[in-house]
Amino acid sequence: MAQQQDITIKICAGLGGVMSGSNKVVAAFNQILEEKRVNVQVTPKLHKVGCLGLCARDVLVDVYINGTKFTYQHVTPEMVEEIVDKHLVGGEPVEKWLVDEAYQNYHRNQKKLLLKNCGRINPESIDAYIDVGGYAAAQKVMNMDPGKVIETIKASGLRGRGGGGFPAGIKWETCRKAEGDIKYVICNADEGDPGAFMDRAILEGNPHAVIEGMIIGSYAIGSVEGFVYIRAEYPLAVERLRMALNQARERGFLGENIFRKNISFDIKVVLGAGAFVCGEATALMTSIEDMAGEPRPKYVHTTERGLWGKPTNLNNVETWANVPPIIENGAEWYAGIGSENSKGTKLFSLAGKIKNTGIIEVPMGMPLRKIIYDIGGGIPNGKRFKAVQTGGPSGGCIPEALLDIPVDYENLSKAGSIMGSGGMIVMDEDTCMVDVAKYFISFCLDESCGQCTPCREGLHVMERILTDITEGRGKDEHLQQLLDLSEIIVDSSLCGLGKSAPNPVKSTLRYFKDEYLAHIHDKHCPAGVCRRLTPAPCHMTCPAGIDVPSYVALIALGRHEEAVKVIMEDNPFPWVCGLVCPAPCEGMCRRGDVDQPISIRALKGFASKYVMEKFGGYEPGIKTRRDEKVAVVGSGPAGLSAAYYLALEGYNITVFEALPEPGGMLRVGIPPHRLPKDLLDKEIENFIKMGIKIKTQTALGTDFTLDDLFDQGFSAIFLGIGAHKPISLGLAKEDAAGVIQGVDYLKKLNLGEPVPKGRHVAVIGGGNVAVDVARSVVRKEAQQVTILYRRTQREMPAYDSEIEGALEEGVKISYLTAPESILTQNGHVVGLRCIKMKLGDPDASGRRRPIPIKGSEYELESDLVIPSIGQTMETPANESIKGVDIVKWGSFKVDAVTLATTRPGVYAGGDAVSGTATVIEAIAGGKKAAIAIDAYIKGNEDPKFPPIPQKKAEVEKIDVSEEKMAQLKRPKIPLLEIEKRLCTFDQVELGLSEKAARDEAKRCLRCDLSQ
Amino acid sequence: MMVQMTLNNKEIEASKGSSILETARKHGVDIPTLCYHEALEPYGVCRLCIVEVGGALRSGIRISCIQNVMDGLIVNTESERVLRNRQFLFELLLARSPDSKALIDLAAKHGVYESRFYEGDTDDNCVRCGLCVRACRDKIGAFALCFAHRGYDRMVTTDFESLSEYCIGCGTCAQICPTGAIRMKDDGEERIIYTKNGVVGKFKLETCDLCGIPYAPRKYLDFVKRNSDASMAVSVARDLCPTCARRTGAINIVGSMTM
Repeated sequence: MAQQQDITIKICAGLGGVMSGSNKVVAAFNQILEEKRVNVQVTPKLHKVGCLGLCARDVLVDVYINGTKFTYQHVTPEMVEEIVDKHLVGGEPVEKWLVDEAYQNYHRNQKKLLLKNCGRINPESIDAYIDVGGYAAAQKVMNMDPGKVIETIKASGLRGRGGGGFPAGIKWETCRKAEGDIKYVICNADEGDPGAFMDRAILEGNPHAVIEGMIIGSYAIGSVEGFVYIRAEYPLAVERLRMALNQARERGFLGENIFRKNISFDIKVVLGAGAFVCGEATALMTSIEDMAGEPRPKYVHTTERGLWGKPTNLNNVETWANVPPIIENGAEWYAGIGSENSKGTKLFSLAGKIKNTGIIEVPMGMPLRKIIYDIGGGIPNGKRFKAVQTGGPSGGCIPEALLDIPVDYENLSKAGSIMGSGGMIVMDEDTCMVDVAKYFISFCLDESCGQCTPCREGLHVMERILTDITEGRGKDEHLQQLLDLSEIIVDSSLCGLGKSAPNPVKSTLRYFKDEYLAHIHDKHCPAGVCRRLTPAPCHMTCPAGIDVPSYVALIALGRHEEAVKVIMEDNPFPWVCGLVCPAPCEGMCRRGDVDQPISIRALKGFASKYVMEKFGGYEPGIKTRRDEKVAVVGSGPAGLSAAYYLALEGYNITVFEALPEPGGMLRVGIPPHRLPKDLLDKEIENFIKMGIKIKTQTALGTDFTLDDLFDQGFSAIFLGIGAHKPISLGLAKEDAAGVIQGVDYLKKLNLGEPVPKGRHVAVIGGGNVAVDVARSVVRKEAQQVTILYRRTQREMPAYDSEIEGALEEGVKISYLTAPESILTQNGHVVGLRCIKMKLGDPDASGRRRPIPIKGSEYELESDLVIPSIGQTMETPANESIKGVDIVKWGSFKVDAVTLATTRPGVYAGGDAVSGTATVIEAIAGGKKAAIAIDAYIKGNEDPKFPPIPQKKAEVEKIDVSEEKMAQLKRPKIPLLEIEKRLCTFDQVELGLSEKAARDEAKRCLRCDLSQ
Repeated sequence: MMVQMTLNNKEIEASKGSSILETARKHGVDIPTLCYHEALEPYGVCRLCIVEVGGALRSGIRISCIQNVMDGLIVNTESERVLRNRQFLFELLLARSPDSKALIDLAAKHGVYESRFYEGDTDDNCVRCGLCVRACRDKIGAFALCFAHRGYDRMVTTDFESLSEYCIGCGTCAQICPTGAIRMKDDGEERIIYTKNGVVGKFKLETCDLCGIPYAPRKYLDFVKRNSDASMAVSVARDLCPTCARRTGAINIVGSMTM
């Protein structure tokens, strides 16, 4: 390029920039410009500048070519070469890396007085500051009457920017008028509010502005010694400030005879040491005096007696930085900016759930909505705005409804918040406001000096109450206690920290009370943050609400007995479920999003087997025995679970079972290769050990009625009679020899009765019963077993692992096939006439309706046909269940919450209510009914059913090295060899070894510990 | 000089320069305190002495031990707001110190009999009034005690929380402590001064030159001697227990009288 170009490159070196690597970008520019010097006509001026504002886009680089500014965002050292080549040398901006309209909007909507030079000038150069008019105001002031200077500041309406909002001019005047020759000026640079970085931006971006302000102030007040108390956590700001002070001294702006007048003034830098309370004026002074930073209780203004007992004027960084522009441009100019009682501009730090995190400067009185949406860019990730906390940890939270308020001292105060130092923390729908209140109370308590009773003891109690609420121990009286304590702490605290600490609690109680109530009454955190009230997905999805993460973690730690105890809080059949449960928890397991879900079911089975073998049983602790007795009808999982949980409460339980052996479908439905009967016996033994009596071969309807039970003195009854009546195919000759219903076949098999044999067996149906039957028949020397199912594998309800097992064992599955008629000879089945189906539109269940394909009929040879298309409840005789209503599809009608039937004192659960479902759902029903029955007997009108599952244990995080975590994989559960499977009913699943189980348990991501 | 003010609806005269607390007590009005002691500069941290003011001062709450009286001041020591604050302050103190008889008695005197905030897991009698620290530092000048840590963990302790080399074993702290959190025990020839957190000072008691009973630590006697010699310009010579010292003194006086 032949033309001479004036090129200036400004790279953001505010903290956001430095953290994003601006030093490396500067180095890259230096290196590349050095290398390419021959190709560039003029050496570009390269500057580090202060904070450019929109920290979210760092590293930001402003390239000025002949006065036109191009801004690059997210600049990395790797991008520099292309920028130099294409743009600086080639004249073509690299469009894809330039900032967008949103960035321009961010700045366009601001009004920059103090930030005007941040990002324009090099903060490490006093000349850069002087070039833009720096120190001209101080020079001007040296020729003014000090009183006039104070009048100007008063007239401008400048209010302290540290949070107090006290009129600066009046403060200066009081200090000037105070008795004594020695006076001090202090700059409070102990910016302690979390999320606030305004003072930092000024100190790192334009420190001379603060120095100039203090020079003007010291002149007006008559002080020769100033201090900047700056927090040690701002090393970059400290460095730049010290640099600037030295430069100012060199130029004669500080020291003796400043500005060539007979005036002295110098500034010392004092570092803080990590105490938020030292941002409080009197504590800050105590700290400068070399004592522990503790606020002073006395009612005397520091302008009268402050540092070392002398009149002291303390102002915030931003306040001081406002002084030079006011002197330069006049009080009237300044008073023309802002709102009626809040003049000038204010810096805000936008933090939290907001797109454009960074520093902004706007005139006082701008609507909050404009700040958050127009400048801030709104909430990221499509989330909804919830609240914005203004003013630091003692600020209030402002909800959506108040977003149109103008941001100034009065309006924020009316809304229950404060201006504070200017921090704005934005919160979205995923923020729990109770957790926010707890966090900030903890912060204030942590930072409290501890001198006065209300703050020290009061905040401690508030923290405890808020912790209780977020951990599910909230009580009704807590809310009033929080309000009362807030009032007391505000009234009687010694200093501003205490007085404002309750603000977050007060404002969240004012605007988000329903969240508190959800935590207290429902034990539920609507935002999903409080981990005790937000179960892990596995825990949440388990129908019985078993605390999965806790027992998995206990297994990892080798504490198997405790693991079983946790399981039994919600499920008294851990071993059975460890074998037969479809494990919806595994379906929700977050580990499954990474690689494979945790093998939760197998872990449960392992732990139960371990404990059963080691201890011979589980030891539930029964509460004091009561007098009342409860009758349970049906000894399946629903009935026995109801019995178990009632027995724990001390009730005397008698279980009436129609069949010869207890267990319900566990006994007569599930075949032994899936659930060995001796295992079932061992588990049922636990119930008997508790004193539960089981009377077999005693059926409701045939042998007794509900009236009989009440006559016998039972206080309540639970009906868990299951769904054992098979649904017929509706075909002719279904009663022929060689045709047996699936559940009847399994019942005979499981009760040790002879079962019909066949060589070509056809099983009709696609559920677990059909597959159980098929796999059982295979073991009974059938030559060929075929399952006929009218839809495809995708719609087949049986568990995938069962289907897999069946196929391994040689079972054939004929999809899209249905029987049309049963073919017999001499009264015995010889075959089926079948027809192929195709899938049409979905039916009521959402599954696609099978439609017969005309002309596709064929004959299937078969000497044993086993329909297994479903079951319903066998309804006992009307007389025996008087008062208990039945619903249309044949189950008991119950209250959805309490499982109470239409007859008082009679409850029902399991398949008898839901129709055929899973074991774990039956267990959940039995447990829920037990709670309801217990409440009924005790006369408790309103039993509390927790709306979400509760944690049953607190288990610490387990240390697993990253290496190990990467190696662990979901194990394949060892299975019995095929040869054995074809001729015995031995258990197919062999279970995990202890090592395999503990390793598998370590893969758990512990979603219960998140947040 | 006197000022005219109103105390609980009664017009009274008060000495300029005195605090509301001192004035109230002089007029028989009982305001509870923990961190106040006539011998020490008021600290104003326990907040129990709060009152409600108006008139010459903008209406609001004031801490009476550090607020001086003035002409036209209106003070109410039993307003609803004051009583409510006091109630909660006592309950908060009792939550941490449920076993301090002195605190229980003081609270009961002001109608507070139990604390709704007590969780059953604290029995720390120290109310952080600072009287021990202030007495030791400002009156005795031994500098053996200090406050350490912040917030709820703020506690009275010694340098590095270990046995103090500055403690002279005078026991002023134990005597001035309003709740019995810091104690002194003499057992035979040993004196220890201790809190729940640890031992402040441990001393061998010197025996009386005359009667032989153990009565004071050497460090304490040296301290008294140093300060007495300076102020009395004579040397305090013998190690005498208080009883023998009195007798000896009396004998000397009688002796000098009969001369």
